[in-house]
Amino acid sequence: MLSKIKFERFTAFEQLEVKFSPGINIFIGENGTGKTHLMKVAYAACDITKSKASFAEKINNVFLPSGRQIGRLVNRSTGSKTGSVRIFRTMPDGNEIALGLHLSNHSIEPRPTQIREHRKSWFEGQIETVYIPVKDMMANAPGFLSLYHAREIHFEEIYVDILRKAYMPILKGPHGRQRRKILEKLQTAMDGRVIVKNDEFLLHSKHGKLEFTLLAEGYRKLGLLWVLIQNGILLEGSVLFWDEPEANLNPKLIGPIVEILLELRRFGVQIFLATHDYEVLKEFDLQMKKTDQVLFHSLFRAPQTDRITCASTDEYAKISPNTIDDTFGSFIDRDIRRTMGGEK
Amino acid sequence: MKRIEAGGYLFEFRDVLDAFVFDETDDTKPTYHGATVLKAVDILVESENLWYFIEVKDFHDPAQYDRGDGVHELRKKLKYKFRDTYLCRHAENKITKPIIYICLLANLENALCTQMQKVLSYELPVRKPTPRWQFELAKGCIVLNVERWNTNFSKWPVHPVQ
Repeated sequence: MLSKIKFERFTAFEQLEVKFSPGINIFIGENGTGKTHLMKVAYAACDITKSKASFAEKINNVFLPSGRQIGRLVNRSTGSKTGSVRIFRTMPDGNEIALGLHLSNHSIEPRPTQIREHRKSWFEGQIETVYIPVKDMMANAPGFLSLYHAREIHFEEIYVDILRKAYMPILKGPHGRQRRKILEKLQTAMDGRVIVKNDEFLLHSKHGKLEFTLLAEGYRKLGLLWVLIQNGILLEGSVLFWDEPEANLNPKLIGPIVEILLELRRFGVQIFLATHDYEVLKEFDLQMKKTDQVLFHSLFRAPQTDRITCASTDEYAKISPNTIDDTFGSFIDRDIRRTMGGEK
Repeated sequence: MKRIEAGGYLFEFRDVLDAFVFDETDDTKPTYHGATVLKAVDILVESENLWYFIEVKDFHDPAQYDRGDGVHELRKKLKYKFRDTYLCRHAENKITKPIIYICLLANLENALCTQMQKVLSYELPVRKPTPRWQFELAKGCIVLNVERWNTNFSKWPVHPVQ
């Protein structure tokens, strides 16, 4: 389970430390406050425990800096030459271990990761992880992996990873009670189950077998979750990153999605979400229990320093600053101005 | 300036022609409306061009709006308070200016204020629902929390009563 992350002069961050909940971590903030960057770094740290790639190489592949010059990830606002990231993880025995990466903006090639502590432990304890990007890949899956491996195409590796993981065959053995419960909820929400035929994903429902290209994107998202649970990627102890789950989703489907995420958390999955959406936050507020350990992280630029800062709370009503609620506040202000027609 | 306490909040109304508690229970006061069978909003404020009907509720204190059907019960209460107050003022021949109905729902988040305002405006109704009406019941309906009140009505600040 990831417990903490620290940045020093890395991408958008000058200096930032965020403590994670072992349950669900929800990041909000305006565009450009680093929500996706934070999640990509954390994902890379989890993914290398299985792929055994170097941290630097994975970071380079998921960020895809221009010319693959990893040094470009150093925060350049202060003219500094070096940057670093350290991520911490609590092991089953309660010990905390860390993985670090130090970069110089003179780095042309990804240098071997400088892992200062617990290198062996970090790689020994494997973490099953998945990063669901904003853009859907399921409909474009056939042939994409071969294309990616044969040609130089400009795609961040998260898009490749999600397909690799979705294509994994079904996990052997019976589904446990909790997994079965989650799969049933998903099947109810999307009114069918997902099958793979000739590299193509299809939804098998009472209406027949429908290819993903013909499905609404909201259903593709539910289908992706179904696949990842069925093939055992999302199991107890795994870590899920999901960037803007609300993208292309009708608000009516947010409720079932949040319900499924809470079930996954209760099943033992650590979850990281980035959202711009009121419905996502409100559904968590209405559905979560104290034991779910949901933590809201608000990323914002501090007015005095202009540096990105994080304020975390486990209470929905105490999220501050809350740019999503502020937007609704501005609706009220503008509505009042219109109603009053200048008289106040 | 008129200071008025209602629903656990202290209002300071500056630059108004009049402001008084409308659901007055003290029958010795001249503002006691006496029509006890009718519901009444908390405060009436008269400005040069408008009447303001103001109702105050703490959203997170359902005791203030019964234990019935939660938010629907609250909306019904807000609706009938406005309509009964209008009826009462009509009978008093005091509908002399357009009316703005303001519901101060303390502790209600911004997004839910906009939703409540939308439904309440429809149900009051605001403006003329049909061309057959010669008059509108309300020119506008505003649902807001304390923070938005103080942002938008800075001349009429509101504070919780200590």
